[in-house]
Amino acid sequence: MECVVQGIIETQHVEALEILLQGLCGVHRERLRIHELCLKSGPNLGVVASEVQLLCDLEQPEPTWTVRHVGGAMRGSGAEQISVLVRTMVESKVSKNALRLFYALGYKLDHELLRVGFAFHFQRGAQITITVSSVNKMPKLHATDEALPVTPGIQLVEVTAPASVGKLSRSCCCNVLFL
Amino acid sequence: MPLKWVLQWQPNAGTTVNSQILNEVSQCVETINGVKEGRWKATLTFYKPMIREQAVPTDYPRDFLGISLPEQPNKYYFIIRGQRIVLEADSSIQTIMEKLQSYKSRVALIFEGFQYQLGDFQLRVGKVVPSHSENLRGIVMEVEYLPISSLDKSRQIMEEFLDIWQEAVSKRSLPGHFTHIEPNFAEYGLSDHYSSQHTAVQYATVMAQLIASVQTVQSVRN
Repeated sequence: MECVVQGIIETQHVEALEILLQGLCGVHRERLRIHELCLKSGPNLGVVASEVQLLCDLEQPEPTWTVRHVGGAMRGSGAEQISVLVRTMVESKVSKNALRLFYALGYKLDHELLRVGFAFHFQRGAQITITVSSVNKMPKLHATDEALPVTPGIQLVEVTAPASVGKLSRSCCCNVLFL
Repeated sequence: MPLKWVLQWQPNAGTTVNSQILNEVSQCVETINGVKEGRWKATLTFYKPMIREQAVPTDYPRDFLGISLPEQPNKYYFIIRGQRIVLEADSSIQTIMEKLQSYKSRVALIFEGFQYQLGDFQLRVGKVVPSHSENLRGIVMEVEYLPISSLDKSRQIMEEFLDIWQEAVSKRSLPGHFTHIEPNFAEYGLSDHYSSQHTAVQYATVMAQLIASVQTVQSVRN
């Protein structure tokens, strides 16, 4: 499970936000360049249609791959009491042939995008991650070098923290809200 | 990492594996001065596609394998043999597969037994049983040569070791022998430098051999 808060910011204010975050988090920023591939199950495959994301971290000397599954958001009275999105999220680091495996299993590429920006990772009650990134689309398949912003002049801000199942960490949510 | 060969017991025609053979093989390791170190266990799971409408033809793999190995307890391996794909993932990939509900784990086979140290070699002898029964389906043996990681460079010493081993086993007049089938690792995109992905591919090959031998026995009976 993870707590998530998302928002947007104009690119002209990103530099100031970065300085603010640097002071708040007390750690240096890390560059972010992630190729995200969203796959959907082929026709007739699975009890219900399913989606999975493959993330390729292009910032590493040798790109690394992660498979991510994002579940539905928490609902009900508990969810109404908090202002953050709480959802299931499972990640697994995988070898570089993950895309070939999922194609072989019958998954198809739905869309892909390139996230470019920076991130802060730090510990404050929970392991918190803040990312500020522009979301880019690719004119041709997998052409990350030719990616163009989806929303020029606007960037996405995302704050995430893990939440354990059954006892949603109040401090984690408070921290996310505080930030 | 050190390379290993995964061998399987091939029963003579008309015979099947039994626990007595496993006991004799284990004793045989001790007679050549293998020192018992502890237990080991690997698990191999068959995943099958969950198809919404059975009548509609699909070209999804009929099944693929998920393997957990004692040498990498936090990793999990998927293998689609037909397409020569081996994937290494964190163990959490199993949770992702459950959540996707597109493939379901059906049958699991456990490979388990004892580990022995013998000079620069590490041997693991074990039985193959379904996860919810004690029906012996096969016997496997891992031979690991600790100083070398190159498959090519180690081939000669591995073959020499196997000659000595086969001679020791043959003295017991057991109804069968160990066989080693080396998969074509290059087809899976694996190099000469040994990794746990090589081990996973070897287990998948042993599994295919086990299924083939069971089918042969059944066709002889019929």
